[in-house]
Amino acid sequence: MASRTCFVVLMVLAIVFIVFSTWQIHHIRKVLVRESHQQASRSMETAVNIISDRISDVEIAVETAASFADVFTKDDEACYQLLDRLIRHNEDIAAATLLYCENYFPKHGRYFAPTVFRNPVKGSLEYDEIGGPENDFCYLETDSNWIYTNKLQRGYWCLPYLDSMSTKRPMVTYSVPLKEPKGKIYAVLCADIALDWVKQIMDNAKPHSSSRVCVVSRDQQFICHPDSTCILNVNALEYSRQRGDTNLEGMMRRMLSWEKGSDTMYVPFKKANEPDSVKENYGNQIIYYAPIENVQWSVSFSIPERKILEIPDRMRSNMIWLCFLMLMLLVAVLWFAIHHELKPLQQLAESTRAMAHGNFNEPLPMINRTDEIGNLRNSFAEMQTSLEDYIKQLQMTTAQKASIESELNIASKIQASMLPKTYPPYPERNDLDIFGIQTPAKAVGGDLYDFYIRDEKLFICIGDVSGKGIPASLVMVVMRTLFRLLSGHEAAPDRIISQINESFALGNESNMFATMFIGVLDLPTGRFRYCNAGHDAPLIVSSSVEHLPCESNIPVGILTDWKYVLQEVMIQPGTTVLLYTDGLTEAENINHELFTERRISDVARQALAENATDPSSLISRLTEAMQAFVGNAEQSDDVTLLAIEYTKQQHDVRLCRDITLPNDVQTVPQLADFVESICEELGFDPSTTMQMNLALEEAVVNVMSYAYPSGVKGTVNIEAQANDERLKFTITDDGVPFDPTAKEAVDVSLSAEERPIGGLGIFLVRELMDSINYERVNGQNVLTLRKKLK
Amino acid sequence: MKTTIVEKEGNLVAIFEGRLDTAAAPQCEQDLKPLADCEGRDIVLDCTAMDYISSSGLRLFLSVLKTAKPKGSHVFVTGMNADLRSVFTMTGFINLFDMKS
Repeated sequence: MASRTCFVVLMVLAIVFIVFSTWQIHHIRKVLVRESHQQASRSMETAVNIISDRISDVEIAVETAASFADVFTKDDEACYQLLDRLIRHNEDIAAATLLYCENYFPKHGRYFAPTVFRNPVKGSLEYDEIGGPENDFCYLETDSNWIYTNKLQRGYWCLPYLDSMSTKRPMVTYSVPLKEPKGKIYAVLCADIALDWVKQIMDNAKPHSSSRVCVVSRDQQFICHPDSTCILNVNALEYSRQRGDTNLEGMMRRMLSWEKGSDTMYVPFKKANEPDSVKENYGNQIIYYAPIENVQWSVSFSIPERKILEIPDRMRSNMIWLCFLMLMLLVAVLWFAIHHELKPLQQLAESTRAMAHGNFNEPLPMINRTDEIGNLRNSFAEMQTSLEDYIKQLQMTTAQKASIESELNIASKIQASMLPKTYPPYPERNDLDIFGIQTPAKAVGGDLYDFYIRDEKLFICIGDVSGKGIPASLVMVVMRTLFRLLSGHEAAPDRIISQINESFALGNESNMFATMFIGVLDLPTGRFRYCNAGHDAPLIVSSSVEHLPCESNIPVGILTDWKYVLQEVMIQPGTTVLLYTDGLTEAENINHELFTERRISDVARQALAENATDPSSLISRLTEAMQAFVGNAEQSDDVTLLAIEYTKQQHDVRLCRDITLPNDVQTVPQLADFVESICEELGFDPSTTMQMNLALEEAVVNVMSYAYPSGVKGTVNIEAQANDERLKFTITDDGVPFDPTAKEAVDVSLSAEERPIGGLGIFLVRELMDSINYERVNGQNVLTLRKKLK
Repeated sequence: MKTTIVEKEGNLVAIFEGRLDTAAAPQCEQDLKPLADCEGRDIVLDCTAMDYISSSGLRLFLSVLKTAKPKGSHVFVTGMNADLRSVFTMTGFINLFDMKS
């Protein structure tokens, strides 16, 4: 954050600085260039004035001398005084000479040219006469001032020339004619001027030490030039042309047209690594030039542009450094400030990270600020509190949910434990094979099925409670409990269902109901009594596949006092009874088609055809068929299947005897004799014989005592039948319906005070015999006792 | 079936002989009535000579116990054979009486 902000600020400031300083430097350069131009122009003007003035001074001095020259010129001695005076009063004049006309003084011959000059070494004035062939100065014939002045008839500046003396200085001569009163020119007064001072003046006037000074005369010769070999030696126009620079040539032409102005020339670098002082002579040079009218010279000096721009350039680099330092300082301060300001935020972030790892007690840093960071910290503190609360709540909810799930799991186990789960359930029996499965749609289901054997009767129950899940499962448990409870002493299915209905329908506020089928199969005879309370009719698979005919009774739990109808059928050995709930018939595939009873019958027929009607085969075939039909569709309802195969086999009878007794308990000894004779025949030991005796006495006395109302005479027939497997006693009477097996069990653990007198008889029968079975057949009570033979 | 009551060492001793079945029970009940006057004396039911007992007989034994116990009398059963003992065991009577071999 700090780094990024600093970077952005740095960037913005850098751009602002660059734009501003570029503009500023540009402006300063412009001002400086203008200033420099003005200054150079002024310097040039001053130099031109000075030079003009000095030249004028010479002109005036010479002309003044000329005005009174006739006083001295008439004498060949006095003329020196004139020259002496002229030179003495004019520092600029290096030599003064009089050129007399031909044979002016006859004694001096044809040429007479007295001269006074300054000794350039000593500075003293010296006199001489320079005319004539002996001095190699035949001025009357040669190209000389005499001739030009005579032609012009007035003052004349000659072209510059190099001093003939050892100094070899550039010189120029001003000459004026001296006339007789008649107007004839008799002599020419010449003043030679050394031009050293012109260079000095220009050097003084030049704006910069490295400025180059140049003076060109009207004959295109250099009077001043940085390169002294060029002086009066090189044609300026030719020189500039040779340089190959058209700009330079153009400028030179303007100079020689005696114009005034300035031009910028580019002087190419000769070497790359020259010292700065030399470098200044290259690059752009601004050249100022101006004419000196009275001698027709053009003076010029140059200024290296580099020199003008030296200050702004230095300023620019200074400015860049300054900006850089300022930016660095600014960024450092900014970075530090942001870092310092954001430090609490960093601490807050660390605390938050700890919180994110689940440590909600992590203390937040104390930030005593009222700004945004302070607010943020307070918001975080609030969030921390809320989170803690929320997590606590969540933990509680999760724990509750887990507890509910665990309870549901336990409930599911409890419910599953209520269903028969060991198959085969009666491995010791050879007359019965049972298999059943249940698949609840949810953890707990509303389907129930149950079976058990009491007194040689198989009690079967299958039911489907309306709805699914926990409510249905609770009702299912109630149904199953009622079934077990009621069938414990009641063998008539219609009465069992009626009682279930009464106890369930009464106070059924939740309006739950259940379809239910209860059947009681008498195992010795194969008589199947059943009552169907709105349940799917079971399938009977024997030689054919048919539905068990069922009365249309209403489901239990709907209406009290409903009269449930009992039905009865004989089951032949080798028959399988298949019971199921609507979870099977109404199993849906993804196209919402139902499995239907038709498919169940088809599967059963197929099984019958393939001789696979034993319970587990039949049920596995049905389950597979259903799963194949349903496919990936979700199971919508509990599915329960129960199949019972009745496989009773007849045995050869080894012994069969009977006795008929009146309903008088005093005949018990006769019974004892009958039993003892049977036991003896079967080879029972005395203990077993006594047990048989006891069981029979108790059973018969019970029948005698209860089957006939007090005072009514009747008989009791006892038949003993034995085969290889068991001994069976069948006690038959014509009395009122009386089911001794329906008596409640005796609690043998009670104390003497709590135990009722009586009730032990049937208990003893159950204890002593392997099974007891009651049937009411054809208006008779039939009680069967069985004892297995070892 | 024969039931005899004798007094022996300050205790009342009932001696049973033969089969105590439903048929014999009414007579036996009559014979045992003197035991109601035990008055704190202990009662011994001597089954040494008893061959058989049915629930009717057991009911008589229980009556004797229920009558005697509130009077502070102990009821002992002696001399039972294995078969009789198994009936007593089956019915839980073995826990109600003080059994003596």
